[in-house]
Amino acid sequence: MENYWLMAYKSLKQDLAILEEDFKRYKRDYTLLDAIEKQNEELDALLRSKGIQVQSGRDVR
Amino acid sequence: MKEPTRDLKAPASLGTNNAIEHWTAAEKIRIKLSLPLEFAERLKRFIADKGLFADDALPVLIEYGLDSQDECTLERLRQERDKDLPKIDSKHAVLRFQAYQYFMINQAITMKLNISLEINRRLKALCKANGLLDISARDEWDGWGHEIVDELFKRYVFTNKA
Repeated sequence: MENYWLMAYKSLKQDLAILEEDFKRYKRDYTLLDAIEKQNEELDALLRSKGIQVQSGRDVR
Repeated sequence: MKEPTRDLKAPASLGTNNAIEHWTAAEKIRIKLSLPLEFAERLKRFIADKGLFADDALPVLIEYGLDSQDECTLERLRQERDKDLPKIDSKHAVLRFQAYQYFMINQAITMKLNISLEINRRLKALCKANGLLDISARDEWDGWGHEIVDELFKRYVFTNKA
């Protein structure tokens, strides 16, 4: 039984390696997805500050 | 008993199905075992007693059977576990929570990604037309087509990973 839990420990290490890969991918995606949202807010504010009519994000469409 | 369907070389995941999901078809094999009924019943009881799923436990038990022939490997692993288990366990828990947080945020943003990208393109065009933005300025997502958006939807929306 003791050896069984050693194998379970090996599985935990493997899970951790997979989790680290997932975490890096999720973080990288978040950086890009969040940047799109932030840029939309910045461009919207920039246009408004110049007096260019942008009623809302959807109105730009 | 459900028949095992795992790669004998790779240990199974306990508690989560992460390892299973990450094995591609090329990385796993399906095996069909014929077992004496009495042994199968003992195995079934053992797995149920430990509160595990047969799919998770059987590959581990098989690997344990193979590795138990190598006492040096087991001893090394035992020493490593005694030293590192608390650290790995807490790191696993923290990383799992952080990955979950990113996953959920990404899921919410991805669900409105098509609209956000469309708005982004229109806003940029408007800014460029008014001389507020360098015409040559480009961001990574400017070139995103359906393939990348679909990939993100598959990763964050059409999945049961959360």
